Amino acid sequence: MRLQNKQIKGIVHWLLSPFGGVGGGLILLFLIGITSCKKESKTTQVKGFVIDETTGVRLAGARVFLTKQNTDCFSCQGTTIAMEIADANGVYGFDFEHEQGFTYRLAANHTNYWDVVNGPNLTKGEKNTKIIGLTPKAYIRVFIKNVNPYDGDDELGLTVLGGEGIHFME
Amino acid sequence: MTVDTSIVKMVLGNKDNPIAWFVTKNGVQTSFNTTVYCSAFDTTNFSINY
Repeated sequence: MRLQNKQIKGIVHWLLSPFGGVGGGLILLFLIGITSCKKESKTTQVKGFVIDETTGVRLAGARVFLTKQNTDCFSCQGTTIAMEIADANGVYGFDFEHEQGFTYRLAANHTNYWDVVNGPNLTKGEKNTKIIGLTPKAYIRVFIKNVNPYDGDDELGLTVLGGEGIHFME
Repeated sequence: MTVDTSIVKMVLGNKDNPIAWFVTKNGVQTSFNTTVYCSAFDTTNFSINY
């Protein structure tokens, strides 16, 4: 009878010990609980400002677009899900729910500036800070003159890179 | 063909914009290239006399 009690006590002790039985199980459950209770935040924030990338001047009134694109679809166009006009300091901001399977990016435009179509990528569930730089537009006028004609087969081909990347040939 | 004209195109402001052209005369083709700095919101003139 005594032996049986010792055996029972030993078994109970082992079960409640940190390294085995119920004790170990409790610790394991506790650890699982801690890790599984860490709730993943789905809300993604992005804040920043829009600048003239050549001067650093902040651009008030710039239009900033939040776009989403199917991550698995390489050729799909992104769709705009929100738009905000930058304030007097060029500041903008979005809070949104990050859906699984989509990539979120920013786009921006402003009068007399080149559009930013595929802007910075946004990291899920984080507070993103993004500065969007826009390049100002300018114009070039090219005067072309054949000052020393040879014959009717004279030819000139012209390519202006940057901006529209035009090609001209006469 | 004798060309005597001008073209206007939108480019990047406050940046050097590359320009390349080739000239063919008497069956001989010669290539040229340079960059032209264009101030933002302004029009920069560039002449090619060939």
